[in-house]
Amino acid sequence: MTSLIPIQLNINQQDYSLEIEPSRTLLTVLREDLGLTGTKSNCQEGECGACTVLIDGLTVNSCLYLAIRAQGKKITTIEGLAEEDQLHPIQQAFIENGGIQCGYCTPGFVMAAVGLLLANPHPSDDQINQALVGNICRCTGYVNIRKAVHAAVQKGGEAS
Amino acid sequence: MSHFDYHQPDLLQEAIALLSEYGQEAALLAGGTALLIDIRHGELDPRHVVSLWGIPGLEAVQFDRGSGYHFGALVTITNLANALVDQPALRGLVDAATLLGAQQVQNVATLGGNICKASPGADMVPPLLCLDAMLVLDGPDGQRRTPLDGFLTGPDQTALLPAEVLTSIEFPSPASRTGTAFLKVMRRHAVDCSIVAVSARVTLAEDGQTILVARLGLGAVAPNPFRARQAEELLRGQKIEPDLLKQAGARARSEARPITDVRASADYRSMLIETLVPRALSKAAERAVEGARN
Repeated sequence: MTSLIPIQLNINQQDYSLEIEPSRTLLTVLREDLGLTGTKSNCQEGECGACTVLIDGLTVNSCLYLAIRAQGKKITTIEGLAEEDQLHPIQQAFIENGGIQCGYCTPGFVMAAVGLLLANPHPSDDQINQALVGNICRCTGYVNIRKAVHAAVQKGGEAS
Repeated sequence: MSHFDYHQPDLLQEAIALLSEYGQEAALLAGGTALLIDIRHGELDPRHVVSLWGIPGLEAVQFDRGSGYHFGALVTITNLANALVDQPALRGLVDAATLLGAQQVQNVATLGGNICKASPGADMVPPLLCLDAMLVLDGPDGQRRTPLDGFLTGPDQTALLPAEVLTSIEFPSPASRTGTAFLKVMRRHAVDCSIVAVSARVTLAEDGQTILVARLGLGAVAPNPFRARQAEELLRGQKIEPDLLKQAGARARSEARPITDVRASADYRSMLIETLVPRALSKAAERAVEGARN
């Protein structure tokens, strides 16, 4: 039996001290140890994007990332986007444009869009499409999801 | 997920020592996007995972005209694409990078990991074969350099010796009037393994029409990506024209050994080779001409 390893994680600007098995993924630690269940578990293969989080500002599939590797990095999950009662502009745009159906894929799509705008505040249509190819919506609500991201981009700078 | 001990050495020599000590029980962690899936599916069951991320220098990108391009094995696909954005002769390599999974994977997956995973459809391998890439390997007996061509010896198989680590990928600066291209057919845009991938490099003579050097790298149509050498030979010294490119496609098709699997039939793959090879060559040649103008 492998022993537990102490680790420190910085998630949504808060420090957490945990003891975990080294084989645990960031996804399972977020959901099962910290109750941050906004990040969804689905394909476990890096194809669906439901588990997308930001690590040092870059989008990552948390199902394919060992929690132990995230030490010393800044992790942002869907729970970390809103400031007090103020939703992140991407979240607001998803609501206003009907970008949410069952909601399961939504956190992953929102994080992918936030990651895009952090890297590139003024993306082209192609770049928006490219940034979303790693996320699947099984309700097939892509039209409104794209509309939402376009709307947030048009509203400009405040999104990042 | 199985259980393993995690090691993150600060020195390359320590990583090599750990690999020597644990042998078959050890797996190296680069990006981990393939490793964690293999572990989850039970294809690998390491007792020890050795992370390379504590070792300095493996994320470095360096290039100049004289000494060519040097990428540390841990350069991510995103960082590779960003570093080469102003290098018109390397657009084929950048195109391959932007088609390797989605941004979530590109931000984590590494050049070294993509090579050493030795997948039949490894996206970065065909363009690197076209660039005559060399690999720097560090092991218990010191450092050696070996061509990428020949390094992959089967699906999930490489010529790495026990306890050896791929530390750097290098290739010379492309000659002037060189263009490269990468085409990939897949089921779902950007987030799927290739059905067929074709990469081409063309270096043209001063007349802008005669092929001085041609390289063709094919992916997902053999146990590993490979160079279609007969097709390359057929192109050398010839003038670029549609008939010639068509012949090269037919020759490349005869050099491939595609299989039927869940993604496509062997016949379909063969037909795709014949279609994609002329397209990739002509795109590379167009880019070579464009590059010469600028």
